[in-house]
Amino acid sequence: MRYANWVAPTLLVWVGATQIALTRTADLSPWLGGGFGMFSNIDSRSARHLVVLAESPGLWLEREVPEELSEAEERVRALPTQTRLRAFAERMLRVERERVPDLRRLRVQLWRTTFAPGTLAPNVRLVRDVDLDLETPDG
Amino acid sequence: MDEAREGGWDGLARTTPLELALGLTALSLLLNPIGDWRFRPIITSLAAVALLWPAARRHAWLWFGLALAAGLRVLEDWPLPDNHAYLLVYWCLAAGLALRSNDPVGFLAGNARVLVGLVFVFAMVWKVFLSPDFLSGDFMRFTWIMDARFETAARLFGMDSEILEHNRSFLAGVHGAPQELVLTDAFRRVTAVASLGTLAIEGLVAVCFLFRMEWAARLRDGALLLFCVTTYAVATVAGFAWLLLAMGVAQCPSEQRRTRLAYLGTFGLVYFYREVPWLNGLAEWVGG
Repeated sequence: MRYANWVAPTLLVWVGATQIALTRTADLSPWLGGGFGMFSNIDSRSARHLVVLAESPGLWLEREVPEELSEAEERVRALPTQTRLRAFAERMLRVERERVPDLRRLRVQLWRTTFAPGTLAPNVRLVRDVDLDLETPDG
Repeated sequence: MDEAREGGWDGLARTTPLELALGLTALSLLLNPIGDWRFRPIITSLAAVALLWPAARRHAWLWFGLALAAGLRVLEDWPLPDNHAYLLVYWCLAAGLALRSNDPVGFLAGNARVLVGLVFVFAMVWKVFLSPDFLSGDFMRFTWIMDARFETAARLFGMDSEILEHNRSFLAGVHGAPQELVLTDAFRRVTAVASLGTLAIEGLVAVCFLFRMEWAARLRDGALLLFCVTTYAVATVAGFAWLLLAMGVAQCPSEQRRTRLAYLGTFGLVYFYREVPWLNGLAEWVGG
């Protein structure tokens, strides 16, 4: 029990430091992850947006994220790593294959709104995206 | 009447900080149930047992069980849980370890001080070093306009519905949006004061809880109580407030009866903040 006093505080510091590292390296939202960055930064989940585009021959359509994937979408907006974005895109693809006839390609983009210092003028920029190509039907 | 009052005072004085803190923690988990259908029954059942049976409340494994359930809930829901979900895990773990130590009251008091201090150190690091938005005042202005929880407060400082709508269109960048923000002088001033005030009070809590000097000890409870009374009046995150108050109680000696009562009163006040839309009433009253 000699070091028991330090177990909980050490856990807090370790998680907090990891959270800061993840915000710097993997775009984790500063509001989340156990680093107590809430109410410090405009970059919350609501400043991040996922756009899903489906391509059928000659046409790109913006698609809504279905209800069953809304939690997965929130997770991607909170921590939008390339791996997570791809995993989300693959789940979207399974849904869209049934909804869009002759689907050729699915693109998922993560956009972030930033605000100019002082004026708070909004500016939207693409953070990262994933393209999934389907094999041409009938080979 | 006097006897009843005496009994109440004596009863409160006899309760150890540990007992009171763990009772408040259990109560907060019942008032603000957490987790989905898998974790909520376990967490609320353990909290109910802790609240109703003092002997169970003093059992380390109940708190290890709560720490485990709360921890699994955080892992399962990661990275979405709020920050106080993590704090609950550390706190329940500290409670379990305290109850297995030779000096449970002292152990929990020490952990409460360090955990509260560290929470506010991290909050300060974010606001001062990692978020330029905060020191410039942009964060506070943005939040008071966009976050519905702050709308009533904004209205109190001259930002009527029309101005708020104008500003929200601008910040959302909608097609045909206005070209710039419209801010009243009173709103500029109050958001600047709110930014500086937040830094001052959070810094004070961090220093007072992490340092053992006499002046820090004297200011410690007042700083945390002031933070809870002011912050959670607007940002009604009752679960976080109650957890901080339980930790405050844990490090507050039994002899400081008035301070203990202040903690209990603030616990009730946070409930009032959450349940009664008093700011709306105030805004209507001020607006005539």
